[in-house]
Amino acid sequence: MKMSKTEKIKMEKNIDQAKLNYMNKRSRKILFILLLALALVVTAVISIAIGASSVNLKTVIQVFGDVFVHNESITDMQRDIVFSIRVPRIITAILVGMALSNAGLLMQGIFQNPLVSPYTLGVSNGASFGASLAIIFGSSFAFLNFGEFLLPVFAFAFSVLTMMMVYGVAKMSNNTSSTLILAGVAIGYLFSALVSLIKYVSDVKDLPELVFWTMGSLSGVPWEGIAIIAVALAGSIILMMGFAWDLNIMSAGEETAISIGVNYKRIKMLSFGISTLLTAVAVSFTGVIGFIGLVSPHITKMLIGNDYRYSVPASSLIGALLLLIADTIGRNIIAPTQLPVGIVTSMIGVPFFLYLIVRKRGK
Amino acid sequence: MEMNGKKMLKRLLCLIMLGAMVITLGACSTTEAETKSDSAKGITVTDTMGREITIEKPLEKIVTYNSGLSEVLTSFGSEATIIGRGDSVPNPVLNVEVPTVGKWNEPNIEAIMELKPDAVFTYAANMTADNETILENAGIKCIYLELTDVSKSTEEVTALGKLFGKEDKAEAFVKFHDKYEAIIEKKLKNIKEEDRATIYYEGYTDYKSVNKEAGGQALITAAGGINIAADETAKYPEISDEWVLERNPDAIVKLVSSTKKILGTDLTDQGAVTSFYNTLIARPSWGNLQAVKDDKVILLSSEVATTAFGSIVGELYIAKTLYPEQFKDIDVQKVHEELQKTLFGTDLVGIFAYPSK
Repeated sequence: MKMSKTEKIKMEKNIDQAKLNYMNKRSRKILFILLLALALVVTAVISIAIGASSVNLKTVIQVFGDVFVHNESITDMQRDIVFSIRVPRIITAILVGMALSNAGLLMQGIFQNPLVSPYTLGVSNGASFGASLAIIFGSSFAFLNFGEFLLPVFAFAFSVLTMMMVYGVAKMSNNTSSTLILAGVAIGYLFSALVSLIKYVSDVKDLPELVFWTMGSLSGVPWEGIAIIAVALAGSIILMMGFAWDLNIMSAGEETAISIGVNYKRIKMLSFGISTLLTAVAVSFTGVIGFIGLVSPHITKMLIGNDYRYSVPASSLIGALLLLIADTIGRNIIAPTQLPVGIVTSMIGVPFFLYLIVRKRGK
Repeated sequence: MEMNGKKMLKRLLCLIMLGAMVITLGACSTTEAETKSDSAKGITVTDTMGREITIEKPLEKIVTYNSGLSEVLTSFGSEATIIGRGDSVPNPVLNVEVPTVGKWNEPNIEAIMELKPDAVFTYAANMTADNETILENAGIKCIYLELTDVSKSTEEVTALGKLFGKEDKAEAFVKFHDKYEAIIEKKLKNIKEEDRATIYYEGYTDYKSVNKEAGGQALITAAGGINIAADETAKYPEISDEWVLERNPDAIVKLVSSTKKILGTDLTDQGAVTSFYNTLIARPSWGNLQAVKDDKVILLSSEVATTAFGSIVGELYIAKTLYPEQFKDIDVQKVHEELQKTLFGTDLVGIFAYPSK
């Protein structure tokens, strides 16, 4: 069958139109990501300018200026509040928000399940168990000489151990997504029971620290910790962007992905590893911060779609924004008392999330 | 038929339980009446909850869920009266294993009743009204002398002295306590209100402080300090690090839990304490705090900051940290040793504060 000339012209026109649409959509997505980045910068500036002390935007600008041209009026304390307290805390919020959000994005993608979050596979329960061992029986591990890193090391080690147990159990059966989720949920319960047991038998004096840890806090993360989170995050984002096409195809389902030639198992294993690593690293230094990993991938999908080339940067920015806003509110709303960030993320995140769901369904 | 049989059995069991409840409630009212009629001749004390407790004769067999009480009884020489204990209470008598009767905050009513003690000592918050009624009906007094509010320690120890027939021992403590409290008060009189030192008081967890309703406030007030977090809404608020820097307190008091194995009885590793102290003062910008510059930072063991006996020593440590000039003639370590001798007749072993004063 031969195409007539007019038909040919019409088809070329359609292709051009589709290309134009695609370019339009693409530029709209890029613009959207740039806007998110701008919003994050603005939020970070607001966040650095407010706090429980009188250090305000003017002082912050003077402190930064002082780095280049010495300013007599700046005190050591003001310099420390900006550089040793607010800056590290804001960077932590951004990095942890990005890490948890990307972990959720990957988990929801590979499991094709909207309820999955970085914590579904029991990683946070494992981390909590490690943390509670360090908090309650810390003095018995003094010989390890980890000092202040005992808690993060234990939390990290037990998150990874949990992941290995989950994977091992899934591998022994048929290794499908649902077995992984089930094994994760079950092993999560096991560790949660162990945490309860430790709480039950431990001295009442140590309980507040453990409870506090399970509510999450972004304060006091050392620069070494921030560097570790940053390296893990950067590596993960590079890998995710590199495999973005494979991940896109995988979201069409296992069969389609394999028929197109994607190494499904390898990518799934890689995604599983990356999201566990991201969660474990973040949780080890900040305690359990829920919700971000569940909702920010959803918000991303609602706003920008499923294409990983865009959803990875977008979800990173949304996660960072959510956590930074939550933490800024948490440390200012009843200052000088600070509300644990885990509480605030849910308090502001849930209404926003519900609003998005209703709006989307309404359309 | 079988189903019907099962139903019948269930109904019968329900009826039996109802009957038992009616009998229990009836018994309850008679016991109350009896207590009232006896109150004229027995020993009467007021417990932490403000209730009047009357017993006929000194207690001989008790169950305690309160480890603070066990310490007081040991100093009275009455530790053998403990016939059952909560899991956090150390075994009071050498070579005799006293049974545990549940977790410190969950009194096991059946286990208590089986031991048939004269009285059970628990924290009021952990005893339900129903359980209290059951125990009282079985002739077991529920007494709440909690020993957690250090401002009430002398009254509570005196009450315990009466309940166990050890008034002389209780009085020895009260005398000791009041002597040093009077010394503190006298010295504090020389310090004008406007010269009173501000304190940042931190509990076991980093940046967790206390407001004016929490336990630490009594200690701060007794030592003549002003709590910078007194007006916070939460009882144990997590305080902003930058706020502490800006408030720039005159002194810092940090409590160390005995479970950290750094400060307390039998702990003598100076290196561990020093390293803990150095980590504390190395927090961001703490080097700029007046308290750190003036060496007015002190680590206190929970044993001298939260217990009925030890709190007077804790007060002295804080007061001497705040006003070293006024208290230079007091060797707090010596006072603590003297207290140990007075109460237990033994030598003090362990590090209880750092730096020592």
